Amino acid sequence: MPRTQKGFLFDPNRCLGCRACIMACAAGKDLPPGIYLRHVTRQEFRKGTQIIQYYLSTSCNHCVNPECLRLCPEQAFRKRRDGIVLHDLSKCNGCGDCTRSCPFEAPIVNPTTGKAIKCDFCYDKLDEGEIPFCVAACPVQALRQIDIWHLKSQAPDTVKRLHGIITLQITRPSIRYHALKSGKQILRDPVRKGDEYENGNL
Amino acid sequence: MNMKTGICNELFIKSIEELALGRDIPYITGMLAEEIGKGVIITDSVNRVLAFHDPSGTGVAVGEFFPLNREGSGGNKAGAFEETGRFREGQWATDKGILNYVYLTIGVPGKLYGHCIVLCAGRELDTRQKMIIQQLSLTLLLALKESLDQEVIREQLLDEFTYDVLYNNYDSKVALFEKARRLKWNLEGPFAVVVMDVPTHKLSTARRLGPAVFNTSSPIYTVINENVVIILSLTNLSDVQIKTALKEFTTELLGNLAFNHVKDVHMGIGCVATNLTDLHQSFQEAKVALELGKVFSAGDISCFDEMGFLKFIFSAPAQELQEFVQRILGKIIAYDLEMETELLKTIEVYLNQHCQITNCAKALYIHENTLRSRLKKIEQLLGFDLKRIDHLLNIYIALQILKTDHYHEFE
Repeated sequence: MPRTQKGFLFDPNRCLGCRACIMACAAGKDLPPGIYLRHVTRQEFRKGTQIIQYYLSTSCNHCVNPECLRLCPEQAFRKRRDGIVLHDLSKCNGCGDCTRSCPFEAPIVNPTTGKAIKCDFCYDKLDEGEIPFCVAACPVQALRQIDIWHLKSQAPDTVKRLHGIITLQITRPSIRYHALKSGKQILRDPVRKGDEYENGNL
Repeated sequence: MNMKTGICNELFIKSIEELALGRDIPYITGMLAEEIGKGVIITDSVNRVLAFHDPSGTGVAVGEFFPLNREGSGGNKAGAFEETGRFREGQWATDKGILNYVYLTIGVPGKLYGHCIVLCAGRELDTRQKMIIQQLSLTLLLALKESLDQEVIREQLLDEFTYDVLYNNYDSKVALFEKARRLKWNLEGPFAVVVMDVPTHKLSTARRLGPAVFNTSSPIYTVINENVVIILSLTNLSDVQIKTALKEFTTELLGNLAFNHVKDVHMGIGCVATNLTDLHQSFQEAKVALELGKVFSAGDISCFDEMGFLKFIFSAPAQELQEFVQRILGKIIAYDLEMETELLKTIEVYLNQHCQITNCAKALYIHENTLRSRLKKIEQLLGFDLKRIDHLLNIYIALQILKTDHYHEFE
């Protein structure tokens, strides 16, 4: 398998906050009611006299330096050669160390099994050449999967952070964003004119 | 064809035949040295000594790397392009005194493979000897290319395996140990992991510049995610010896890197891993130490076990950290924005100057009374007493979080 680093590319200018990504993930992964591996939050920050709001969809960022992998006492986490961080349920003892150690609070303890679960980037679908549930479900292609190491050639205008969010980058999260454009946060048209990303897979 | 050229050609053909028969670089070096009657050193592209044959008996000791100073030749690639086929001279300070040497770059345009160094002054070489050196350098070029190609394949295998070990990406420990044995890893723990951040275009050079031996075994040098990763065996070393040995190793490595013009180097060292299956933890710690060291300007080398409370900062939820900073420093940040003052900078410098009024005032280029008035304002706004250690500690932590955040904002 060639060495890559899979990650997400999120466009806050497109996201409608419809939560289709959350629902597709929950349904596709057969999660118990009320348990979600992805979250959509509304962010707000002030720029001069303007108040800017946008939606942010987040899940496990499959960090280059994953804290969950470092701190799990059962060594239940591993990172594949494509950069996806996987969690082995059979090794998990449900201690919750991963939940507490993750700066993004991505792993959660499933109350029905008492064990931690997290986004696995739908690696089984990926291995079959398909795309993750959340990416496939986004009606406006605000969420895409990318290869972080080759991002510059694929989408050169991306940023590592967005205004209004404090996210410490020491774990090197594998997520990139399109820069915020003032007044363009809510787009109802799923396909923009001259759009170079027609499918969700970069 | 004159007689001189005939002898040269014969030797060249013989060297090619010997190479085809499986003879290695030291053998060809020996042939060359015996023929010209002078000491010959062959190095690779990073000046690591691959062979040394000294029929003239100078008795000089050659280290792991030859201090070939190519500064001003425009770097390895350009140098190879410019210098191929040309003799250059240099001087080498040894324990036997200053030695003159002549060197020839072994390479093709755009690609450097190594150097052929002859221990004598340029005037001591006659035309025939120069021709022999040039011809056998072609044989050595083939040998070096073959050796480098094999090294690249070995590095690829090693990189993949090391990635799997350091990211826990294996199915069974038995298979892991079996593969490690095949790759001739020293399986006896404990281990230390060093992660080195160097400019991306210098990665392949940097991984070859490390000392060949550490604590009687060979360190493992690999490249993972744009970092050079070094795994060191610490077998039979006490805690004190580990610190000393690591310090010596990193000092030597930094020296080699500096000599080869590899700059902007940072290193992170993880805690000791007791066995192979714990390496992933030490690796992650080394990366955390590296990142935090860069953020907090802790120098070239940062050790995870010396990071103190700083290592806990980043693993706390981001929202909580943000709230903490706002709670502690929010009022002076807002005041600075509104009144265009520098209270935040003042308190930061005040702490950096160990709360010394005189030094702090000097560092800020303000009068001591101005500083006192600013500190009073800070105390009023924050409701803190700057003489109380618990209040100072909270401010210090909040400033460190802010520093981390700003570092990544402008990265």
